[in-house]
Amino acid sequence: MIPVVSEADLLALFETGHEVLKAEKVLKQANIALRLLPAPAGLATGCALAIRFAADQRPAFEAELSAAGVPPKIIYRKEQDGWSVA
Amino acid sequence: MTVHTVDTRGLRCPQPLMLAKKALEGMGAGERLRVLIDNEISRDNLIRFLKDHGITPELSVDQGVYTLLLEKTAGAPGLGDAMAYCSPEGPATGPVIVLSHNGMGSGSEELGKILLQACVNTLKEVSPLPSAILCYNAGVFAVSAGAPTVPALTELVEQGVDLLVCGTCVDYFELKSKIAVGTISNMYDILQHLSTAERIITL
Repeated sequence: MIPVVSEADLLALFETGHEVLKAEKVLKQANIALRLLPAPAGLATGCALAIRFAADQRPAFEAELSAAGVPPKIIYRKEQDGWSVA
Repeated sequence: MTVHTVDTRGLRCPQPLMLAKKALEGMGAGERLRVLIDNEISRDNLIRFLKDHGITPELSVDQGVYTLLLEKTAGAPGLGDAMAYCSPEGPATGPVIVLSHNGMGSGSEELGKILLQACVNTLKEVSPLPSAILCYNAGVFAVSAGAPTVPALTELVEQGVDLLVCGTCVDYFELKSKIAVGTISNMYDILQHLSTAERIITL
């Protein structure tokens, strides 16, 4: 088994699936690399999809999504023994 | 010297072992057998089976295809149960995943596309990994250049997952020059995987 999220990544969750769809389009247009993933068990309270992105892209990631009106609900960082709010 | 050949490419344990065993049983002493195998699990299981029966094959590899060459000796012991060499020591065989349209499920095309992305992106975290992924009809769009599923599918291929892409479908959708990952294949190979799969998951 190979983890799909490393400690160099961040995982953004959104309120709804429609927000994820819009965020994906915005990020692709901005050439920000991403991967759509199912939200890990225990993290999702709204939409069960999440967007993985490189931690060093965070400023651009948040700027693009805020400008488009779809800021992430929460962003997580993977720790050795779970997830923490980043 | 008579050399028999058993081509097990595309087959998974226990078929390669059973075919090799059947060929050996039909051979006379001094005759040689060449077995072609395209996956490491079957290769290792067959070598283990042969060695347990006093036969040490010569192993060579060319472009991902292993060739085991062996000779049936006079007085060779009867061959035991080949099935027993496919489990439990070998890793569990993963399911065959079928991508048959440009998305996952039906209802909303847009939603189906992101569900497929999320699913494919997560496949490598599932144990065991799929034994094969088959793309046909509009499922071939998942392997075309620029598709968001290409990076994850490439990683799965690097992990040893067979990714077969329907050649007829690629021609139909005029994607031949755009296929970014996987092996252009045919109905025969696809059916071979489907008919020998322990489990098939159609997305």
